Amino acid sequence: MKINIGQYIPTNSIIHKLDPRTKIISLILLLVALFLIPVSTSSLNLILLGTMFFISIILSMLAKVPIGKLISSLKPLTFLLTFTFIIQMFTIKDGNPIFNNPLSMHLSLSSIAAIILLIVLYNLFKRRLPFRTLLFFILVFLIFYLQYLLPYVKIFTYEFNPTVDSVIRGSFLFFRIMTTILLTSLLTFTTMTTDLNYGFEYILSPLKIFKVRVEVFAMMLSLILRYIPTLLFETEKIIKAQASRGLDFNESKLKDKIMQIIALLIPIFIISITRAEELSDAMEARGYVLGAKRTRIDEYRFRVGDFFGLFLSVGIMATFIVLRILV
Amino acid sequence: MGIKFKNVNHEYQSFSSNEEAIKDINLNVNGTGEFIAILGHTGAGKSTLVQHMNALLYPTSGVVNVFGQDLPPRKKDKVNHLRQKVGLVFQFPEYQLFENTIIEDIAFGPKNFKSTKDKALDNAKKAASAVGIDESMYEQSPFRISGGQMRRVAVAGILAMDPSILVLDEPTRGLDPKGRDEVMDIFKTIHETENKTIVLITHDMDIVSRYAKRVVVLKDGEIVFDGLKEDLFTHPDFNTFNLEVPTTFKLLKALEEKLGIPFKETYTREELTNYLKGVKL
Repeated sequence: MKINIGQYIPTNSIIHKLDPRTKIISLILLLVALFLIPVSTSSLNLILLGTMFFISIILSMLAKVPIGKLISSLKPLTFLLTFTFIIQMFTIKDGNPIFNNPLSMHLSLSSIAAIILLIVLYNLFKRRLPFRTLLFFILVFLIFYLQYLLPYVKIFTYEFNPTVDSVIRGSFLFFRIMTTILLTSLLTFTTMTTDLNYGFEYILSPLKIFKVRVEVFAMMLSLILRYIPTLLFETEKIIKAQASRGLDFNESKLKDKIMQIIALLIPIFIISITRAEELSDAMEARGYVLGAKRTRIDEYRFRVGDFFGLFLSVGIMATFIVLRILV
Repeated sequence: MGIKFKNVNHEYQSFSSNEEAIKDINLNVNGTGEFIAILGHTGAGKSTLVQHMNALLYPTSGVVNVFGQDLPPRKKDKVNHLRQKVGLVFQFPEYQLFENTIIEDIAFGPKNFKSTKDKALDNAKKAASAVGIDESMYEQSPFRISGGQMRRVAVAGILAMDPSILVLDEPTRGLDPKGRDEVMDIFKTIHETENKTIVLITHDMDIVSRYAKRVVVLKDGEIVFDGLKEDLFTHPDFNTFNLEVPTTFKLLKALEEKLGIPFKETYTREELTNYLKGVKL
């Protein structure tokens, strides 16, 4: 099973060496700046967005994250990104149309058949082909192109009239989501979970005034992250053990599947509870007291690089705010 | 009929590289009358090998034939029925219990294989008595009994499916010596009375010497020894297998050194005592 959350890539770059608090605060500042850019087609906003995208690419290069990893962190969003783009194309009616005459699109027997054939072919062959994401984009494009191309045996016809604005706004949202994901995954790529945990604890520490037990939440968060792989491993074992007793998800009916989930859930619950009990005993045996003041092996200290990084991100956010107010 | 491995490889995919867990395995397991111990150090591929036997894993290359069905299966071939013929008991099987009562849990397997409720219960009761679960415990919750008893209930859950081949992944792990002997005696009885094939992964050389007939040794995913137990301990390459000798061997070797009693290969406690009775100092 593949999980992309908290996947740390140890390349020991300058970004890795930054204090986790710096990285979290900078991420928040940069995201605020990014979302302060209004969605519009004015060239200033487009330049601002381009700058943010550029910054995130530069940061990834500084962090020496392999390009493959970056792209794979974007992959789960391919569908969402495409969907947003298409919705924009259909809903935004402002601005100049791209085509002189509106395109008439046909949902006809021929085009529907062609689209179904295309999707079936795509699903059959996608496992064996490289550049799957690119193929997906081509598939989406072809689905629309076929509706234009094959008007035979019409069922339903609609007019498709994308404007320049809609394309720009679609791309705008596309890039904004992409930048968000790039920046956020950069944090998890370059920061170990223990460091992240400390960062969150530190940033939330003002809440202690309101008697929120921040350190308990931070500990819970780190334990959850630590136990995800363990529980996945246990789950796989239980699935196999129950499969050996004839429970097979692949070859049974939907009605049976619901009953079968119980055969997985109960053992997994019991294992989790047992593990939790063992863990709490082990923690207490090593002197963990809830709410007691704890020291750390690693002392975190802001260095020159941290101040520089914070200064930069504050600067970027301030510029964006000023531009937003003035323009 | 039985299980035949032909040039089987299995690779686990990981992020950077593919790891070969088992390499070029050729192995025949008869459908009846065998008692095979699979040995090898941690990470040698023992668990991967046995999971091929009931179609939980498919070979990445090569073919496993389980009771006439080739694996990996062609499309539309069903494999679930193979798991009734080859019953696999995992390590720490007590974690797989989930039903309200012990007897229902044991009957879960046969019910999945389309036997009627009465037949499933019959089978469950037979399996329960085979592992020494008393009738008075049938209606208890499987979570309120001791660890050793949970293990028996879990084993009974597999036995109730009436498999031809019983595959066990370290069935005695985490049990005390008495529990170990009791569990092993259950398998021995099943093997002797019903002539079922038993395949068993273990690290315990005393279990090997006492119960197994045939031994398969894995090293780094490859089979380095496949033959009778009697041939294993005298094999010229025995030292390269990273295995221990059984207690009976250790004892007799020590006696030979200290008291000059000549060494003889004995495999069980009874053989050892019989031999020692006949020795004249």
